[in-house]
Amino acid sequence: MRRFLLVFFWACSLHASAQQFTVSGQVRDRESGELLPGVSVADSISGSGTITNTYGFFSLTFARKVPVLKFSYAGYTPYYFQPENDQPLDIRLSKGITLEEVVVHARQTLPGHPLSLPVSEIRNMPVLLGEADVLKAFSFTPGVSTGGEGSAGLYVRGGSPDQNLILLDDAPVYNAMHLGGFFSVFNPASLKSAVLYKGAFPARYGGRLSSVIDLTMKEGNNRKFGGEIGLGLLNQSLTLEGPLVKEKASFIVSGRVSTLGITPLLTRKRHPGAVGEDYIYKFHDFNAKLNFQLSKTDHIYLSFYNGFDRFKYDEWSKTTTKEVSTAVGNNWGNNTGTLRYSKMLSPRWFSKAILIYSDYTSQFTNDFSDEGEAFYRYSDTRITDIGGKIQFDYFPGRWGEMRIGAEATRHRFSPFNMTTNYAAKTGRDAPLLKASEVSLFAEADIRLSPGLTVSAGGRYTEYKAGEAVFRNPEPRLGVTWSFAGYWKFYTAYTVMNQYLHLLVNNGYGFGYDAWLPATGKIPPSRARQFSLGVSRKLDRSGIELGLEAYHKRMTNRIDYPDGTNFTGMLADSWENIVKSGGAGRSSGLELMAERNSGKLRGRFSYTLARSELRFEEINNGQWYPMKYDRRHNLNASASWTFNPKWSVNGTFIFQTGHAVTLPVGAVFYNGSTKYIYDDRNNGRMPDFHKLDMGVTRYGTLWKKYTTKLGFGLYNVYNRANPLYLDFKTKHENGEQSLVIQQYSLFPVLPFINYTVQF
Amino acid sequence: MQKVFYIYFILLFLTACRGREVEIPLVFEGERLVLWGKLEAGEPARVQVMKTFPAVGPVPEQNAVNNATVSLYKDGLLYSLLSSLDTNGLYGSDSLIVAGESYVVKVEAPGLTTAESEEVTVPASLPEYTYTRQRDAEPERNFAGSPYQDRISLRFTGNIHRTYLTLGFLAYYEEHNWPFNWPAMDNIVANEEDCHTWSSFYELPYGRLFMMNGDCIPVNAPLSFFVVTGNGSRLADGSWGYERARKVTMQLACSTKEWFLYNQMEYKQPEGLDHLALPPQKAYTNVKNGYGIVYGYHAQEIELH
Repeated sequence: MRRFLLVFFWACSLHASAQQFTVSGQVRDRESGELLPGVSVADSISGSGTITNTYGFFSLTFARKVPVLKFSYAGYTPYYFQPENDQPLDIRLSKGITLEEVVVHARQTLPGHPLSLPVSEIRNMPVLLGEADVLKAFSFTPGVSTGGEGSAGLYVRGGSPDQNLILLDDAPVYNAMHLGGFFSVFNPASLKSAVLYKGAFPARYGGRLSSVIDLTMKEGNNRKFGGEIGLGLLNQSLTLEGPLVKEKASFIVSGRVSTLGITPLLTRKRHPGAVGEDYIYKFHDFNAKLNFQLSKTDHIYLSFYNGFDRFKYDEWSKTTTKEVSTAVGNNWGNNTGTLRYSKMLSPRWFSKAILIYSDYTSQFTNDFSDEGEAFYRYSDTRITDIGGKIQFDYFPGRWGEMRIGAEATRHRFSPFNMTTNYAAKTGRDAPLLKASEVSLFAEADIRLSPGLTVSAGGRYTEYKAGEAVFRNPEPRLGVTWSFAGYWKFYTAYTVMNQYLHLLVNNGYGFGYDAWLPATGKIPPSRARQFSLGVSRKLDRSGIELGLEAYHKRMTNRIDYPDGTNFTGMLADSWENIVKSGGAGRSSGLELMAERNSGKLRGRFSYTLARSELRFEEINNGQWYPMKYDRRHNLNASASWTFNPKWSVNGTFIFQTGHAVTLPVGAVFYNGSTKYIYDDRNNGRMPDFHKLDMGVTRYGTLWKKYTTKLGFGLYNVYNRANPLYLDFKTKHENGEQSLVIQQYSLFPVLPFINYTVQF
Repeated sequence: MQKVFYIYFILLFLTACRGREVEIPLVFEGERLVLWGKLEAGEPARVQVMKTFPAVGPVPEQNAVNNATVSLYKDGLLYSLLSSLDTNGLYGSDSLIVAGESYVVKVEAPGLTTAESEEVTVPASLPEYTYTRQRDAEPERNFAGSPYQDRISLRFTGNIHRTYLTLGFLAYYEEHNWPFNWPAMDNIVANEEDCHTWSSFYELPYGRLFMMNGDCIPVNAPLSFFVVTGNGSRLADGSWGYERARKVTMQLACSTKEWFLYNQMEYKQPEGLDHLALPPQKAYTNVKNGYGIVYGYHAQEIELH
């Protein structure tokens, strides 16, 4: 590592001393003043250039005179400008009047390029009853699939949802799901950018095996006050933003509450003689962000997120004299906070320092009341992170860019706590666990020739939990070769380690999730991934095609033995019960075609994949398919803009049924049929496919406010997609037979939503 | 607006979770023997022999195997040939099972692969314990609407490490007996998920039995259960009231670990909506080339005073 740093600083000094012209600055939205990440900044003649970072910053160096630069970004009118001096630029882009030009040229210069979905595209993609959702939108890209109907949990290249590092303004979010996984906790109205990495991970990211989803919240309009009201079937939202000091400081606050809070209206009144069941579900989430531009080069941001879900199932009976009820519940929620300071140290140096707080809790509740006496037993689990990160970005010249930094996180785990008023507190609280993770990273994108770029980097982590210490280097290497202006080949090799394990105690789609540290007995999981791809741009049609193959091997994965329910065992030693040392392997071929310009836009993706696991003590030590191993996964999303007022959009998904354990026989004994199960995940559910269609009408309210009315159909052709299978005995004509019953969730359903922007 | 939501969600709930029969090809591995064997100390061996059938399609009328040769081996030597007792595949031995001895059951049947149990050692003895019976204790829950409930507390005084216990209570009334047992809220074992289970077979007279892993039971700590001792009924004088139990008995047994694990696994097999979240469990068996369970049992029945 020391040698690497020496080379890094030597390279910096060597190139800084050459006679070159550097232009740098930030790019913003003209109307709101929001900094724009991912903007292409390029020589308007040669097309070579860079993209702005999360803070809208860019730096380009030229050997001779600075050429005319072209700034382009999805949904914005391209802007041409030729700088005349080396003062930092403050470029302002206007939203495009026509929707023709949306080329993001530079985003594919890196191997296994990250996938950046414009939030405007995410918001126009109806994924569940008209609700837009960032994680669901990513599931329409190759190599990414979801669990089942409505589920927003992402399975990226054979990984599980806990292997996705989800960052909201740099703070990790441990449970990104509302409504038992139906949609994510991220309010699209508060998001500025969403980027997914599923291979070729930059060294600045680490700690998870399968993907990084980097989400950035909006900063708020620093020119005028505004907001948005959203009315939907599942939730209602309100967003307010505006300047605190015009052009200097702004705020944004955004919140959502669930419509399902209305479910109490559907429950029976508790009158004497009645019995009933109540399901109560509600959630909220709240985002806030403040930002202050201290000077042309200094910026400070403070962002905050809070979200919580509550679910309760109550069985009750009431007579004239008494009422008895038994209720079980599951609550969960996240809090995150980020304080960020960014500074342009020079036209070639950009730096940021970040303080992070993240907290996640999951709770099971059990209430029992009889004749006024109430008993309760609540158990909860929690993880709290406090950390910091510092990063320096260096733009030495035309040949590339470099980043170097350090990151430290202190994890605090509280795996199992119980509060009860039972006569004896029968459970045992698990002791608090602490772990620390310190990482150093350095990465460089080196352009060896106009068409050949090498991305090399490394991350070194020291992780400590109790007596156990792990020191892991993680090399990251990628090569991109573009030629003939349209073809691009890329390849990458990465190593990732994950120092946290997630134990999920499922129940009816809701879960008691306990995050636990890697320990001496349960060491960190590791993944090595190799990918190779090719892409081709068809400039005339605006279509871009990509084909990528990957192979990933994982070690030290964990699972639990058959039939384990671990809420009680966490109080003792979960390490002794969890099965560790599991191996995973996943490989696939991903095909994507997308068109980001014109009236017809869309994306088509197809993935052919296989993902398997092996544990010594499960399935007789044989490889078995992961639950969400899907051989074929086809997604298509498209929108057609008729005119500025009307557009139509649709999404189609086809997935091979997920793996399931099916009985290999049955036996009749003691009056009932018992099913015999053998190999794990030995069968497949029926295939999953669905078409959603929506129409959007853009308009105005009182000629003053912009409105958007969306309506359409979910599951247009009423496909009965499998949710779960049940095995039953059917009695007919005096004979018994065994049948498989498939249960499905949603039939064809209409939806409508309405948004007012003011 | 509220009405619109109301109608929409009614529609949503009414149409959600639709069920329909589907045809999914299942691999049937062929007919295999299934043994249910109870080797109880001081009793003849009892083994019921059945066979598997496909998990989809008609249930065969005859699943019992009545033409099998069922052999019982003790310490590697043939101890007894079991004879057929009925047409339901039940076989019994003439010889009695001896506590502390180890047995193997081997079954051969025409057209089926021979199945053989692993060696089963019948528990040698029951652990030492004391009990208290608190009559008409304050009820914790409203069981069967009866205010008359006795609290039975057991204390194990000796070492019960690696012991698997089975427990049931029976209340005796004039015209019938009523098996009942429910762990008290402060019963440590009942509150630990992996420390207890319930027997998967409902067998009279004690019904479904409560099963405990001895490793979870602290020495000398009370384990309490409630037994209903007042049965709401019409009394001799024609009025409604509570007939009090004339006696209460307890069956306490030691079983082999396999029996506990088998029931634990069966208890966790998903049914109905469980399939949404809980994966099916691999069948637990100690029968080679077949399924089922052969277990050792050592029981004692006492009247509680």
